[in-house]
Amino acid sequence: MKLAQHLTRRILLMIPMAIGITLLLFVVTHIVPVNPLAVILTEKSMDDPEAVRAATEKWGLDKSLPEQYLIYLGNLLKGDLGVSFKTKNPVASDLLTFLPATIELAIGSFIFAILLGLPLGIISAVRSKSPIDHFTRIFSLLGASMPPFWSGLLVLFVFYYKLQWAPGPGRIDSRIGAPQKITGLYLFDALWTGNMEAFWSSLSHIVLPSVILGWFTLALVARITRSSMLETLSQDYIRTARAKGLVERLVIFKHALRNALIPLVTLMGLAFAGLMSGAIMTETIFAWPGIGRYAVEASTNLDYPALTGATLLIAIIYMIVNLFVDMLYGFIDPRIREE
Amino acid sequence: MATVESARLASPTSDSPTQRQLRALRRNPIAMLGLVIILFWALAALSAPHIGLRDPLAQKIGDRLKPPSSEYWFGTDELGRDVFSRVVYGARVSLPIGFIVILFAMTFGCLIGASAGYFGGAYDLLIMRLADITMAFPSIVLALAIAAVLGPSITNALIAMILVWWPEYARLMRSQVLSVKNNEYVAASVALGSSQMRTLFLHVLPNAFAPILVKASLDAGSVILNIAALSFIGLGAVPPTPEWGAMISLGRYKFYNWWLTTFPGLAILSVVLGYNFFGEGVRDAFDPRMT
Repeated sequence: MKLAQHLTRRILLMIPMAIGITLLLFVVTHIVPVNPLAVILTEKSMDDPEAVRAATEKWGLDKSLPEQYLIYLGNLLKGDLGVSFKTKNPVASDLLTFLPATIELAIGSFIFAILLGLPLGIISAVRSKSPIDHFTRIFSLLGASMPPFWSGLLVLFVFYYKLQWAPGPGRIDSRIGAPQKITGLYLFDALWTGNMEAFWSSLSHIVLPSVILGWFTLALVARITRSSMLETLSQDYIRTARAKGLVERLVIFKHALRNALIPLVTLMGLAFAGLMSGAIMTETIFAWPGIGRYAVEASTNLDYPALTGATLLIAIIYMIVNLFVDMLYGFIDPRIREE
Repeated sequence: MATVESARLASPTSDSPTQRQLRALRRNPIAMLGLVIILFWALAALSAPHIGLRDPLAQKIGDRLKPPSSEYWFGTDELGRDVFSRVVYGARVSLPIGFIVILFAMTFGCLIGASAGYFGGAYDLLIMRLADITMAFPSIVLALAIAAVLGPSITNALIAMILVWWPEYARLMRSQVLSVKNNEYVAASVALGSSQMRTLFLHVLPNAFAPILVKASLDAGSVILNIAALSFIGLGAVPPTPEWGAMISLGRYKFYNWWLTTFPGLAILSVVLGYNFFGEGVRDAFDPRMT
């Protein structure tokens, strides 16, 4: 009952937030007084009075700014984000095409971050102040201090150009081509259709960008696991467990780790923000056709509909992830619900 | 005043908490290493025009894309410009910008957050919702959008960064003020008849400031990273400015000419590492709870 109430309240709170996000984006795109037609139409169709009239009508450009905002919001509710000048497609359908690549990369880097970050965090807590603890600390700091656009180039230089162990930028070998589209996640689609050639090719393509993108998240995971583990290990029930003669392995994995993992849940929201920021640069370097690269290209081409569309999508996803994290947290730790 | 001074002289062991925290910071080798790196780059930035470096903008077409050698330590770029001198001059762009962004975001954020926390009411509600909405975007994403709309220039990138960074300070400051506000010494100052502004600036702000400084020293590194990222995309420093992110962008995928990207990248990495080393030390010394 309480949980349901908590959830409803949180979901309802998202509505004013989403409106605020669209309002902020609307204000941002109207900071500079450019001719809005130049933003919506291409140069060629600017000379075409018919196109100008249609665009003016559709976006209410002859009306006041507040009215224009309402029209923008109305179009948005219909799923109409405008047309990208660059790709000439509706932004909404563009975003749908590019989203799976980002999701696939995000999953890949998350797996990398957890697989490596969790053990590193546990070991550095159990063997606190040992060489491996210092190594983890420096390794994490490096991840947080390296510009992803540079470390991406660096690993491409080493593993693609010098050693030739990894393929170059891109999602899949262009000779093989994308697997038949089901979800848009190449790895999943290739497995589903039994296209093993495409599967191995996309797997080899996703490794380097996942490592680069996941490094930042890994730093967070290792750090939080370590401090949370250290705190748990000093609790009375751990001393009890040791006093009753439990094997150290059981103490650590059964008693300590389980309780230490709770704070990691809150980290997921933070990690996701890091992933999205990192995705912008990582996708650019690895020619990964995802939302981040789409946003970057839109920003350099002054493709405003595409830019606002991508930014809006990222903000909305971010909001939903945070909601999900909150729910999960409320589920794990009942004290949160009481507030 | 004189009695206070003599009392301090008489018992040198009873330090103020700030003195103790500063000592902890001084004794942290990693933090001091960070400080040395930052000071090194600051010195490089200040002395760049006076140590006989080549002009970072001078092109020498005959010496295009030369690998590192005793003549050109870091090699030359496509226009025959000296990469070493461009890397050193790059510090004159990145360091001040990181500093300005943090300073302005901190000042605006603190003033807005402190006033919101102190006065409360509808003003507080409005400010905090604005902060929430701004923070609903991953910072680089919103900065990208703002910088794109404003047009590519280093000033616009700077403005974009300040616009996305202030809410974090505002929120932190607000919560600090809310917790400090209820202290007895604040009530005493109000009871003694000091004005609201006087109370806010003299009694509330100084006591709420420590976590803000911790946050600022932790943030400096990511600000420099983000500015470099914006320049890399082409929305920050414009050519021919010797900026590290922009230099990496020029050399991307030119694997054969590895020196084009390696050295500016190492410069960014070392500065950011320096700030992060120092920032973590500051945090450990002043606010152990945040560890």
